[in-house]
Amino acid sequence: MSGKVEKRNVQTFKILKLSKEFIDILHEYFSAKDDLVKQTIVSNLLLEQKQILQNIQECFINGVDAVLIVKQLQLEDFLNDIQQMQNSFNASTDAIFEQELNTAIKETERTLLKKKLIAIDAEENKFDQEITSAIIQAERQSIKSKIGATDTTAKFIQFNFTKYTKYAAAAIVTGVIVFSGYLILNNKDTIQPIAVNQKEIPKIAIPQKQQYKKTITVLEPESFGFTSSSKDTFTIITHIVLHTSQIDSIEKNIEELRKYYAEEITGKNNNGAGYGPRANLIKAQLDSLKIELQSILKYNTPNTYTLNISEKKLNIYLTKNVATSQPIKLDSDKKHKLFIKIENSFYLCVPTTIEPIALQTVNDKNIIEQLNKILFQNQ
Amino acid sequence: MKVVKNIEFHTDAEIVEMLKESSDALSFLYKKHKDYCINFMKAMYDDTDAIKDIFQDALIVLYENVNKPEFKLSCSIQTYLNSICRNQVLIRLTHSKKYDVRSAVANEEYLENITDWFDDTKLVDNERVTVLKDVFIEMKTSEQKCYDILVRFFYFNQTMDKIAEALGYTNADNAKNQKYRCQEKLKKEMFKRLKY
Repeated sequence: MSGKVEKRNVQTFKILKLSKEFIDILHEYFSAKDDLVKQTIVSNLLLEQKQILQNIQECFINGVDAVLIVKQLQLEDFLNDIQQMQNSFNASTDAIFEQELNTAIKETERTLLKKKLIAIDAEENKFDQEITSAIIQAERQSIKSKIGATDTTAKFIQFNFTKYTKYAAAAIVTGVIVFSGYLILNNKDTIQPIAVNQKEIPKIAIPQKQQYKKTITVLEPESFGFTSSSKDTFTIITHIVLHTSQIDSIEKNIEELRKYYAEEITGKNNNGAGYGPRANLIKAQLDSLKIELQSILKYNTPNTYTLNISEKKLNIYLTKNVATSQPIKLDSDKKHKLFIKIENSFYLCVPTTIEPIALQTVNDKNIIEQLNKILFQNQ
Repeated sequence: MKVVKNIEFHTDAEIVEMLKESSDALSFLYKKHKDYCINFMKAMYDDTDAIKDIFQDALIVLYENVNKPEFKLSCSIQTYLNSICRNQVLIRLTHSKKYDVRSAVANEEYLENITDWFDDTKLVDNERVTVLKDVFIEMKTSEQKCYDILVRFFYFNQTMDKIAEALGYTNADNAKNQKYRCQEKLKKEMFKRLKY
């Protein structure tokens, strides 16, 4: 090779001449499929030759046309050679590249999947630790509460679910402390005897909604001519829905009991208990509480009602106990329409399924007038 | 209204079909079968970390195999996983000469003819693969479409027809052209980083 080689980039080459020997080396390089062979070839080249090779290769990689390459490199005499080299290069790299890409993608995807599975383990371990902490804290709190708690006998007014849970936990802990030699239940496959003096876990109840029930006659216009004895009677039950904070409290306590149960079956509590009668009791309680809560939530939307004509029952769901009038029928033919006055407004009730629907306010002034008249006549 | 079953109530055959659509069911399978498989392997092999590793790999093998058109699950998923795990444990024990069968394992828990594992015959190991992996991972965020098409072709071995249908290309040829363009992008970037 002759001529001084200047600094170049892809666009500005100044190569004056290539020897046949070097051309052959280039052919060999671009035909080689083995990296080791390529590296050996390169290691035997002079610096300027290496630069030429790299620049040609870069053109091949970037898909530059051979005609353009020879023009840029001033290698017009070697167009055929450059074209052949480019074909060889593409043939050798494509097949290898596909194999390498196949490997890269498979390994990448497998690594990602594996990381996902490892993350599941980590999350479960973290959850176990959180349960342990939560239950230990709950038990300590329950013992403290038991020492300072006062008994309340009010049936339904302000139910404190947390209090009962604490009593249950305190009772269990007390039983363990007081009666040493207490048998630990630690294997779900074996039934171990419960110590004679162990207290059973108390059943914890969810508060029932307050209800106000009355059975009264249906009012109708005097023009119908019915006697009072022939009039329909209806049972009206007013349900006072639970407040959101009460629902939240119940859900929170169920969640704490769920964690307590998890603690029980993993044997991480102080008693070292596992699957066994006590755990089963807690589980049964948990299941029952969840069902009760679901049932409550189903009928906990205020200002709704259900009307069963055949059973003659009207259930109204309100936020507070307010005065309700007797149900009123306006038209004797329309047996399935009842009106009722709640506080200061009249509402229309139609037969429903067991699913409550919203109370429909009566806005028609004529109807309101008629209803007021009927109420007045029956005072 | 369509009733969507909780995955717990799906049969093994249904879960296999779900795996063909996405890897989401893997999490469920992992939690469901992990304890049993690990206890199964513990009867033969001491190394807890290795056992966990084997189980994770076995699940990925299952996932890769269900996406092969010729694959057919001829037993329960549990039995299949047990078989793969057992085979891998035996291979490792043979290498380490620490064979120690602690207890006899009932035959119905595994099938001896199932020796599936990763198909690594065509894999290569060199510097370019390492660079390609990095570039490919970057492509997941920067060129999602290219990533999707290449994963479907190289990892899930899907045909160009299926890829075209899944990714919304008008026909297989269009999908093929796009695949080629994506490959060329990767190639250019790889060479750039290798600085040949």
